[in-house]
Amino acid sequence: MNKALATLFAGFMSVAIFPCHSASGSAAPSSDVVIITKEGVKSVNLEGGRLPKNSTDTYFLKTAVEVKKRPLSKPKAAPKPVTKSRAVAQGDTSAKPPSPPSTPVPPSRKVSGIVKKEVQKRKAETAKSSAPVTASEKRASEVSSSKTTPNITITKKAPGTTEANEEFDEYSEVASIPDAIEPVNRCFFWVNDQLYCFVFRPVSKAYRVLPKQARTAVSNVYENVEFPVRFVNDLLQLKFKNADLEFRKFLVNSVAGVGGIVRVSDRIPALANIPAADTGQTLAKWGVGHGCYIVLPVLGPSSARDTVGRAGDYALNPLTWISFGGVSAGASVAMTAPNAVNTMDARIDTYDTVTKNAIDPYQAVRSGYSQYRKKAASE
Amino acid sequence: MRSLSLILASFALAHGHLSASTLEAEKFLKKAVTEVAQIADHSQNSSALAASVRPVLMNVISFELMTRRAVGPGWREFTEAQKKEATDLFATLIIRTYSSKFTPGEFPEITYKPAIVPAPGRVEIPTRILYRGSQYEVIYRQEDSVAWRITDVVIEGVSLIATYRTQFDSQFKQGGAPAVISALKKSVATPQ
Repeated sequence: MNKALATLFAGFMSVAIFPCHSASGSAAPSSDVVIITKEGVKSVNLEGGRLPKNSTDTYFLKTAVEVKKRPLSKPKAAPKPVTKSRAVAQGDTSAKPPSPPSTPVPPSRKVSGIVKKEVQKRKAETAKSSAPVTASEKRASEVSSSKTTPNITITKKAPGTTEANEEFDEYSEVASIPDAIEPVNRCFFWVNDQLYCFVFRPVSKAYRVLPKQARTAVSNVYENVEFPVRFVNDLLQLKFKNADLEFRKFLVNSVAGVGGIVRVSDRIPALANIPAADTGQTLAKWGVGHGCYIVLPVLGPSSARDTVGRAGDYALNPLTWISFGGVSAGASVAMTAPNAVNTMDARIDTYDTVTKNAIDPYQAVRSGYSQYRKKAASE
Repeated sequence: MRSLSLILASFALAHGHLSASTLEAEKFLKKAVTEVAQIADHSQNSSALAASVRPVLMNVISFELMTRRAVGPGWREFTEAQKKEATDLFATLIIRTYSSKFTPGEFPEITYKPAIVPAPGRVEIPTRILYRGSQYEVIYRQEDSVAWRITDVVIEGVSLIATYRTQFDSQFKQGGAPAVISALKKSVATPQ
């Protein structure tokens, strides 16, 4: 049992640390089914050997639309019709255009003609539509069947937008973190949900018995103590102005605010709203990707990058230095517990806001976290 | 010279029009937010608050646009009856979500920042809200269709519509419009 758990944990950690490449689950092997887009022919991943449900694309067999390895070229110019003068010059008085070649067009040429026609049609539809259309809104027109085009899917949809005033779909590309271990994450999400319900919420309720001023003072003190986390990360991100402001804020609150109990800096406009920096944000600035989405037990949503970031924040926190500096366990708990309870209290509000009216609470939290961290990385 | 002055004049007119329009949007938002905050301040409890703010929010938020954007491209697969049902259910969820952020008896301190005009007919008004000791960056996105209406609320970088879009996408892929409506009904029916 222990070995099985250790193997599971090792597998989980290896996936969590190393970059993950697929959005969710393992990628389906590429199939022999393709679709034709403006950019060319693209392979379709069949899920469970079936075409995607509710899809309106037109599908082709790969073998039927195989085009020789060359970029899609412009259609060849039609042969010039024979003009009257030319016909007269040639001694032909009929002035008819030359008849098409009698030799049959090879299948591969016919098929590449269909592909070209499809691509041109898509380009024309895109150019005609009133507003730019995203990839998610493109629809294929029905392609006339031919002997070389197999009947796989037939769907006819009007191209482009259907609503008269439909604008660019700005929500088609929402910030998201690949969730390759979704089943594991959902399991920990459920565990955390139970913890929130049966442990954190009652503790938070008890904590709120304290007067608001006392709770605010606790929050202010710990925010002041965590100054090195923000300061060092500002320096690492080369935000020297913010680092300077953080230092001044720390000085003002420590001296005039009696160790940070009163946040005097809130009354100084320049020091009131300094964007917070953390190690995960620093890694993002350095170009490190999120990796996989991970739900940490107790701590909640994170990613591979932000998990490493949390470790960095923990290392920079002075309370950690004190804990490891020979202080007794009891004293260490006494110093860190109020912060933990205070943080938990704030988190429950946020958690309730996101999950209470969600269609799928897990997805709501994942989406909210992705967007929140994207904003933090852009600051 | 004449064409230059014409260009300058039309630019000034357009800019003036945009500015007037932006001011109108800001005025509309301030009035709406103040009205909701005042109702929240005088409310007895959360349920009464949600019931009280509903009529106000129905006038200031474009739920049809919000629902359409939250569902995404699949919206065109909805029948008219389904669209109406989805909009009504989504409005209930939004009102509940928004009103749950207010605690009866507490009035937030709101600071409005300069508006941003990402496109004609659209305005984003960033605000900073100090509420219950915490500060939040909230952006109200508005659009001028028939009149100015709020079409999205972004809190600390998290868009309400974007969050629901990810959820509706998976529901739609599973079972189309009926699955989305069924999920909405289930969510609305969940006791608060």
